[in-house]
Amino acid sequence: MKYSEKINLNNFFNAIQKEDYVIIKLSNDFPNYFKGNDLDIFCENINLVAKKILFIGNDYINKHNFIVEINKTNNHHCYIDFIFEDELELRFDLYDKLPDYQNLKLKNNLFGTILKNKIKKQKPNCLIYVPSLTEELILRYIEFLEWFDKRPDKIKHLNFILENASTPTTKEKFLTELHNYVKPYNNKNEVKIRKKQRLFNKIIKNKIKETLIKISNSFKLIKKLTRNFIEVILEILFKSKKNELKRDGIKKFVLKKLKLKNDHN
Amino acid sequence: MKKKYCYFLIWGNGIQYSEKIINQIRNDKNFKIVLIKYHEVEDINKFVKQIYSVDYAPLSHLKAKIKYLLNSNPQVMIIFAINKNHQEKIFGEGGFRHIECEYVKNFKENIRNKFNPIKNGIRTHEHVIHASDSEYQADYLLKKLGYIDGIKHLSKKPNSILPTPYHLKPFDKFVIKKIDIDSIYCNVIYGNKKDFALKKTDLVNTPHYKCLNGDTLSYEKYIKSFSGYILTDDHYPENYKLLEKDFLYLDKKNQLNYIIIKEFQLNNYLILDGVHRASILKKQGYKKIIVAIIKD
Repeated sequence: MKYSEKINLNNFFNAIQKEDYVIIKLSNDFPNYFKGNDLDIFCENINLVAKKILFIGNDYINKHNFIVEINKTNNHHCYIDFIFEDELELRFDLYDKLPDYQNLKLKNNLFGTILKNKIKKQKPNCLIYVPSLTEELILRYIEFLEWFDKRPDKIKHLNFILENASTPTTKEKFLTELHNYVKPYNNKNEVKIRKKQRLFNKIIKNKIKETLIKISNSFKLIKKLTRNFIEVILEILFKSKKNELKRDGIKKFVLKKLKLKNDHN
Repeated sequence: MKKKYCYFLIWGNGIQYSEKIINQIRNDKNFKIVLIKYHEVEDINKFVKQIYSVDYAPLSHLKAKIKYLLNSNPQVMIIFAINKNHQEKIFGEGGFRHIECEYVKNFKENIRNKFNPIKNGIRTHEHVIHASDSEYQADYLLKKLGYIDGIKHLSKKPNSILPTPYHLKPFDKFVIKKIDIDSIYCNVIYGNKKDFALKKTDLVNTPHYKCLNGDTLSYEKYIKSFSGYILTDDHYPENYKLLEKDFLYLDKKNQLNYIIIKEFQLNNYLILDGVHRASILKKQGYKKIIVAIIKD
């Protein structure tokens, strides 16, 4: 298979040299790439990195008729596709938080540690940043676990681990850190049960709320009806003028009428 | 220097000077107009009360001062701006002690000196203009005018990567590509202030393009007719001419300031932001331009 020569990756990585980033699972071929490849980048600020990629991208759009497609799938992930003649040439996948893995739960601080422990790698025409070996091994292990049953090509990550964690010290460090950052397996049933519980709680809460509102409305109605009833009775009793009671209020009305009666007596 | 939102409200008795007053605000480097809103007041009494309900002085004290407003034209022009020179100072004494931006206060006084009615050779207190003392008041008025997010509405960023005006709907997916300039249309307003319609128009038939080709009057009339109504951005001919001069699209300072468009028909696009720039590019003779197309 031949490398693609349409995009010069050195330009892009020189442009983001001052940003806090690492390229994860970097291929040995870098800065060469194959058509359709993607580059996974963990960075402190995806917006800043995306902007700088677009600065360089303008040249490809203007001079080489590339189309650049940007999709911010959520606040922590964005991909930038460079498309040439309707075919994906290269994808930049930017993350500022660990992606959500289905099969593994990871502690959030792993992301910060990866950026903190990043190491410089000098390539012929540019300087790039990659994770330290231990964190690279962890990420590849996670990637392997996530995909091995669907994507046989992900065996490459296992091979990388076997090749690079060859010494007892590296192996020990890798395993210790891995256990430090990986939370126990998610039991899918447990997750489902929890989801159902949450849904159930929500429904119950809403039902209680609805009932309370209904009770309160009934009380208001009873109060209104009682008042109307009393008003009618009083009006009949005292043979008052229409609206007199409403104008004066029950208390004032009764006092007034009683006083009148007493005076009369 | 602190940046804060503020507003200037031209009362009905000053509407006739609104153009001059807006010009004065515009020409002050410390202000950047972000929204011009013409507002027809249904109940001037209620509106005045609302405005002064967040003032430092109690309404009872201001009653005599604002009596003239109750008989004035029930229409106001409100100019929201970023004040780049916010100078908070304490003014007044006792119960009237309050914090106010000195710069806005002086600016407002200056306008009052120029445009307040004069009786017997003395400037009256029938103020043509009111200004906010604090950002809170700007926030309050925006909410009263129906912008439920208040000043947050003005600082909205519809996209976190591209520089975009606050009035666009938020979007996360877009494509940047070069397209034929003649496939771009823009919404032009037809009709009058109260009864208008938007019509998709090709660039060469817009008042914006015509202005660049010598028909400045059409553009001026267009802006004057709808400014403060459907056009709430601060556009004016002088600024447009300045923009045209030496205009270089996507130059180093504006590398991501793409014209933002949306496809409304296959390969036909509608400009959502950048009619002025597109018109200039058309005049400059570009056949194809780079744009950002918002995707749903």
